[in-house]
Amino acid sequence: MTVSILWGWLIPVLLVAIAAGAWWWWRRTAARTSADAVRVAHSERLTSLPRYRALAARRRQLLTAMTVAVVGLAVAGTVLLARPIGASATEPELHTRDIMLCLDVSGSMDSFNEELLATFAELVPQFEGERIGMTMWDSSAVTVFPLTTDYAYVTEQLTMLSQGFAENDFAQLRGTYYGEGGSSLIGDGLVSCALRFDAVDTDRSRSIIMATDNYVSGNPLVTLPEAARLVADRDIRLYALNVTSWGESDESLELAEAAELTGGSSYLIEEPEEIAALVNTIADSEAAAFTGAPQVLEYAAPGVFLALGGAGLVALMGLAWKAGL
Amino acid sequence: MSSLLVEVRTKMSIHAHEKVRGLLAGEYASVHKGRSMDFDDLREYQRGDDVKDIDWKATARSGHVLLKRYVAVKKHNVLLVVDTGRTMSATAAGGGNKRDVAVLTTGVMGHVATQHGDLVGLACGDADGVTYLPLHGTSGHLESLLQRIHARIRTDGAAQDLLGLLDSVRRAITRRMIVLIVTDEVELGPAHEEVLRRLRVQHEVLWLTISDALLTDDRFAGRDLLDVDELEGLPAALRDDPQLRREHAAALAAARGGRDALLRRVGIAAERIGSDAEVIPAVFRLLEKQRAARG
Repeated sequence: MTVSILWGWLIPVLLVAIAAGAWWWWRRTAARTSADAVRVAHSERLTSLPRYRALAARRRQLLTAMTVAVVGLAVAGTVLLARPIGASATEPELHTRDIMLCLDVSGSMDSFNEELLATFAELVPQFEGERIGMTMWDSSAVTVFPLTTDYAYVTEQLTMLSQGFAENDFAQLRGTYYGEGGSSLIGDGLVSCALRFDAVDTDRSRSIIMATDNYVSGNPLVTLPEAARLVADRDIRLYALNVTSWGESDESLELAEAAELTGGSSYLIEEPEEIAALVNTIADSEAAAFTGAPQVLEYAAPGVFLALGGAGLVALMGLAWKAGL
Repeated sequence: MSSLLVEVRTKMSIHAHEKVRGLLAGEYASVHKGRSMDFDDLREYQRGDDVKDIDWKATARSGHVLLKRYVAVKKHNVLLVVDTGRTMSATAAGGGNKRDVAVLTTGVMGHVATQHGDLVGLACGDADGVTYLPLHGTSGHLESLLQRIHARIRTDGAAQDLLGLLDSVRRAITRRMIVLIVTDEVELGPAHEEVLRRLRVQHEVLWLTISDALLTDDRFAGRDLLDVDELEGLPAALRDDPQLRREHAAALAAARGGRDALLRRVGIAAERIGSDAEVIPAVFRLLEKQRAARG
């Protein structure tokens, strides 16, 4: 941490003003003292006494200490008025992150979605300022909740949905099976998620965590590669959780390619239990990826001078008390 | 400038009644020896008058103790030796200025002397040297002597040099005189003692000390004290210390004791004056001491 002075010019100005004031005061006091003083003679009979010398020496020490305290106070006060500032580099990137959960809710996904949502619900408390949104789709996309930092609400929704999946509550999937294109329209779903990011002209880190098995059973408007290009164009990363029991199938490869095109990656999941570890991996990699360009933050740094001034003031009061003033 | 002599007379009448002033004159007159035999008139006896001068017949006739007065054929010479060093401009024990006390003291003495028909001169001096003003018996002359003393004692005047003044007087004045030395609580050493011893042989020497203000006096509590010699302040806070006060009182007592002892050794009658009110009693006591010493 380095400390610099914001109004550097103020220091010489104030010091000169203080010095001038002190000089004027000293002159005035000296003039008044010599005018008012009682003239005496043969004071050596007093000043040559050992006791007087001891007292005078003590007084001199006291005055010297008070002078030091006053100077310290003046310097500290001057510097404080000139606004000492410190600067530090911060990485505020984390707080401008948007994460969109993009859930394929076709029938084959139920058990995975339950696990995925439960894991996310546990993850939410660790977030600091990241916005989370959720969209689910089958043949049409529904916004469960838009991008928000209302983590209590998010947790509540995720927990509720997770429970719904566990209990096969299809009512919560209302609106996701709309239209005549068929079901599991992966490309359409991905585009729908991508379009739900707001404030597109601001510089934020955006990512989609999409859970799907990539089994299309209909005629999507947009194919997955086309959707991936749109996602990449919008500078959004796609992390795909590839829920499959078929291993390295064509569908899996296509999904992996799509994710890599956007700078994200694809993970094969064969059992719901693997999801927790994967989600953490994604969150961590996101964190690593976006602790980018540090920003310089300037803040008031009066610490040392405040301490010096305080010490000076306390010392001055103590000494004045001791001097019996 | 107003007349200092008028001021002296005013203060004399304030501080001493008519009778006391008469006593003072009596004391002064009896200090001298050698009177002419030319009878002048009679006056009432006052304490201090020489018993030898009582006119017993006139006393028996009138029922009052009457004294013969003679015309002084020989006028006496009174030399006021005034220390004008700058320490004399400081505060006196009574709170007034030592210079004013010194002017009043010399004024009283000079006034009594001129009233008696004697001649009064002045030797005043400090480190700048010694100035002599001649002997005259007029009150106008006395006034000019007082003015000179008043003008020469200044806070920015020269430093004190009592030894130089005394030595100069000892050398310069060969005629026998009454020498009244007015100074302050100066430290007297063997050199002073030697000069005074010689001065004592030549003259009748009287000594008046204008006492200095007590530095630890409560009267000055909280006020700045400035030594006229060193121009160095004596912080008020220091002077409250009880131990310091005790030590200072002891040091002062020792200094006074030493000075008194020295003057006694050389046989010089001395008195101490701290304020205007003390001037006349002190001069009176001084004259009485001197008369007693001469027997």
